Amino acid sequence: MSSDRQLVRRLRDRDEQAFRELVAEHRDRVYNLTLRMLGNRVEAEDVAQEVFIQVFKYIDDFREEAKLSTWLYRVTVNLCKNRIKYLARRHDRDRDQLDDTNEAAASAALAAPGGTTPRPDRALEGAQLERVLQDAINSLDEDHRVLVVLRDVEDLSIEEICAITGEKDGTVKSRLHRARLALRKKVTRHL
Amino acid sequence: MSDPTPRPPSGADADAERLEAMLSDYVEGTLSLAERQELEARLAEDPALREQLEETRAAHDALRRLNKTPAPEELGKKVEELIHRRSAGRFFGRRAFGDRVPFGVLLVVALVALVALAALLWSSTTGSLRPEPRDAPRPPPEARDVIPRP
Repeated sequence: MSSDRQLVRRLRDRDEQAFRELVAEHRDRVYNLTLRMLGNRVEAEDVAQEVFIQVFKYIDDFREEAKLSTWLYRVTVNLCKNRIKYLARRHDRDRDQLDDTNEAAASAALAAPGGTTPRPDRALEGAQLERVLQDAINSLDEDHRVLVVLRDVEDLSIEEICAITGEKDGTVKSRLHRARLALRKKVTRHL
Repeated sequence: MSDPTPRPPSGADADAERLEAMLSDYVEGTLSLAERQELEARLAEDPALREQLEETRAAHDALRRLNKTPAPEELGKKVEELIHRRSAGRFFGRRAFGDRVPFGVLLVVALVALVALAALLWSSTTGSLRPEPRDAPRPPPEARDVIPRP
């Protein structure tokens, strides 16, 4: 928290190096979060950029009641929700931009442990599973989507999720259960 | 959240919410011993609940296996460029003489220039700002006639 304070102070002093440190530390998680929330690489990158711009724009308003990362993820979630609404209004439902790199990484992640090279059929299976799961996430309502992404994909603690969403512990867990159930039904329908 | 929960849940709703929260904790292995025993007793006599548990566990396990996608390499650079562009270079102090407009420096330079101009005019013998001394010699009356009248 004290290093958080130092970083925030430097950010408020418009220290460019502090900005670079913040981006370097959080960019992967912010990007992965936006990618899983939006299911589209181009939109995810655009929103991830906007997240850091918003953080710098409003760093003077950050009250330090929460961790800097919690505030950062709250900004990310809010911007993702706004983008989902915007895309829904535009009827832009093209979620097919999970790129080849992502799919290859997916197959590797789902392959047998021990660092062995995945067989082509296993790789395809992994990529398909990745896509089916992402489609299922995309079809959840935005609040359920937030919960499964934060908890099951990003592995944030329930406590941190409560701080990000502003919801109570029991409510988050109960909705998380419903979100997983809904997701499972959608995946079963796809397979 | 989109769930209709502006009011505290009623008795039945609160029970359902508590059960769902317990199932969530059970899947994650974070349920307390007493609650685990309570839930397992309910699971033993409720096949629908057992099925629900298996469904959520399967979803939880599948989601955890999703890979993490790293951010594009150029993300940080793009953000920096956007910040510089949108703030016209005023955001970061370091670029005081780069793309930032140095308003402070410009003000100091303008003030120095004004002082220098005033000193120049003060010392000038032709267009001076200096007031004419009271006891300065007046031109003789005949000299006044030499000066053409408008």
